[in-house]
Amino acid sequence: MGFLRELGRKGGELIVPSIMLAYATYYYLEVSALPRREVNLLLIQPVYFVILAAFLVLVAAYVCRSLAGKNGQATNGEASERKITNKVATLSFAVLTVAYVYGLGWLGFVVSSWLYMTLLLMFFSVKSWLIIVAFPAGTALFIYLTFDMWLSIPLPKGILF
Amino acid sequence: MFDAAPILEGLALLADWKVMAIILLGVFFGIITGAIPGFSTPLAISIMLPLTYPMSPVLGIAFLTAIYAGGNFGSSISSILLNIPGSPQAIVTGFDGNPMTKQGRASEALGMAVASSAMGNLLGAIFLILVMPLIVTVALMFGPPELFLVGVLGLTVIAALHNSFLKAIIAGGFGVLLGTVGMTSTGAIRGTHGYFELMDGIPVIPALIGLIGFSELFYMLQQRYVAGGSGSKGDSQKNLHRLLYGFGRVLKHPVTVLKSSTIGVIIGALPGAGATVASVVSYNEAKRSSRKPEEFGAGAEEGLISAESANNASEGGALATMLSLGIPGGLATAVMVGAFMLQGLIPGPRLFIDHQGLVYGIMFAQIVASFFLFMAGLLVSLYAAKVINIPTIVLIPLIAVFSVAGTYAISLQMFDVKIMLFFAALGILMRKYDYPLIAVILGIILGPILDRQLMRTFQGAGELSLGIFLNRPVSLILLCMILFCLAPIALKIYRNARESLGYVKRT
Repeated sequence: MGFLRELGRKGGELIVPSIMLAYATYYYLEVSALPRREVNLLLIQPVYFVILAAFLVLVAAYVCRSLAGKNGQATNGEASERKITNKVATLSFAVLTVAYVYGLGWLGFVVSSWLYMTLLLMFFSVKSWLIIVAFPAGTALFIYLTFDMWLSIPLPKGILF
Repeated sequence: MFDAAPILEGLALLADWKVMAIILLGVFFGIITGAIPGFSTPLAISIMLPLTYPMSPVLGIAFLTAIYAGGNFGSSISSILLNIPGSPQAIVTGFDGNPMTKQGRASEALGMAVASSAMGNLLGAIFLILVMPLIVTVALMFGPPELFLVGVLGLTVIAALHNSFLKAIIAGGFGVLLGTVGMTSTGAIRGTHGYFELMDGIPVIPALIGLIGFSELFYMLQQRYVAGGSGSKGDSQKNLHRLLYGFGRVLKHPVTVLKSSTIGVIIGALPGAGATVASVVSYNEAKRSSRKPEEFGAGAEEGLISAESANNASEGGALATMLSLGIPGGLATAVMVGAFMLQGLIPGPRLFIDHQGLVYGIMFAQIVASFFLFMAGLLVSLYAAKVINIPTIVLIPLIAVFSVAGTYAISLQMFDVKIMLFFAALGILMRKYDYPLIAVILGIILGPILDRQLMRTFQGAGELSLGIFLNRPVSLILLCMILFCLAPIALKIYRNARESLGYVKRT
């Protein structure tokens, strides 16, 4: 039972390969159903089986390590050093970014970028009002002028600008 | 061997202040746009393409090749300072460049990158002039089986560089599968889920910005400054001194520069392989031959130098294939083929016969661009290094908006920005559990190449067997190189498995 509890607690390690294997399996089955299967699967089939084999070996190694009571595989340091600690700021950044991307088409680039940057700076507890007001407006206008006017790359225009 | 007349004609074409000015302008434009995440070199070249129409051929082509040279270095600035590569070839530069920034050596890293880029570019240009016929002969020996194996070698090297081979294999395989999404040459539609935007495959740059750039912002948010020791004004005053010190450090590694540039030129000459694979292979070779391989990934000078000189030298190789055979090795050279056509010229063997002077002029323009790249690179780096003194809470909104604008600009569709968000979420998870992000990106880049070349091999031979690869000398050499990369990993896996099983049995 202790082993199963340990496996469940540290099972997060297997989230990424599970997602990748699930996608690979779905993709493999989808392509298998296409006509001229042998041609369409020429590369996909060996790659899929390599992923499957690597996943099984990874799980086996993980189970062995859990049985032996060792911690997760040694990393190159980066993952263990860098953790998300500021959860409020991170969550606000994620939510505002999704809202920004989906609002771009509706509000247009200049307005939505200005709003997005202003709200982010406020959520990040920037104290200077000059930065909160002027920096987003300046940046949004600078990008608009550079892309739209100078380089002739039209940015999304919404109901306002 | 050389006919002096076309060489002198080529030199004469450059003896014009307008050519010099346009090369300088191109280098500056390339560096600045290259530093913006999402603003890839092919995009920068294609934007400027219409401007070359009224120019003379040498002026127009020199301008575009200068943007190419500048862009290759520019994309490394954001990779070194922020761990956000402007384009795929700068990913490897960040392996050691970003740790150097975190150690408070940002200016030094930028100085090294400028010097390595300029030298790589210069050596690439010299190779282009001196050994172009040889490069072309070697490139012609690469048929579909060899090009397929070059792709496999690139992925193997990336997997070998990571400390967990299995994780890298899964990530690389996943990337390859993503790379095969879209309409195939046989007309089959794979994995588009009904999105017509995916018919041409998963867009690489949005995936790169999301996976490596945007996901980095979430981790950057956890610290006050990009580099731990930043924020003091005293640091910025020494920027120039440190930039020049970085330049000096590159001169201490002449073998690394020469070897990496040679690898860059050869791989750059292969259609499709490009600067990213060149930097990966060169980095691996530098690590393998280094006296201190354990320092790679933690701020090793040789790591940065090898990646940066290889990706810049690859331009010489790519231009060799494009000029002599008319085959564009990548997107940037494909746009340049368009520039030639705009001038009424067709790249290929006839170009050498009919316009030899112009070809030499373009080659010499590359050499001039290398010197301008050094000067412009130092100037831009002097100011770019100050970015690390901006608090992350101000920097993050700025980078986020630039990334979104840059991603949207690629094909003017919001779908790309949504793809970027999807990959950002995947990138956060992959970073958390230490999966190599570059393996996915390289997989997406190499997936279509592997698929196409394997298909051609199959069509050419009527079947697929190991014999096809064993019976061709170049592919046999490549197979040996792949096995050479795999041998130490297989040994490590075997030892680990034996150790783990022994431990389980004992307990």
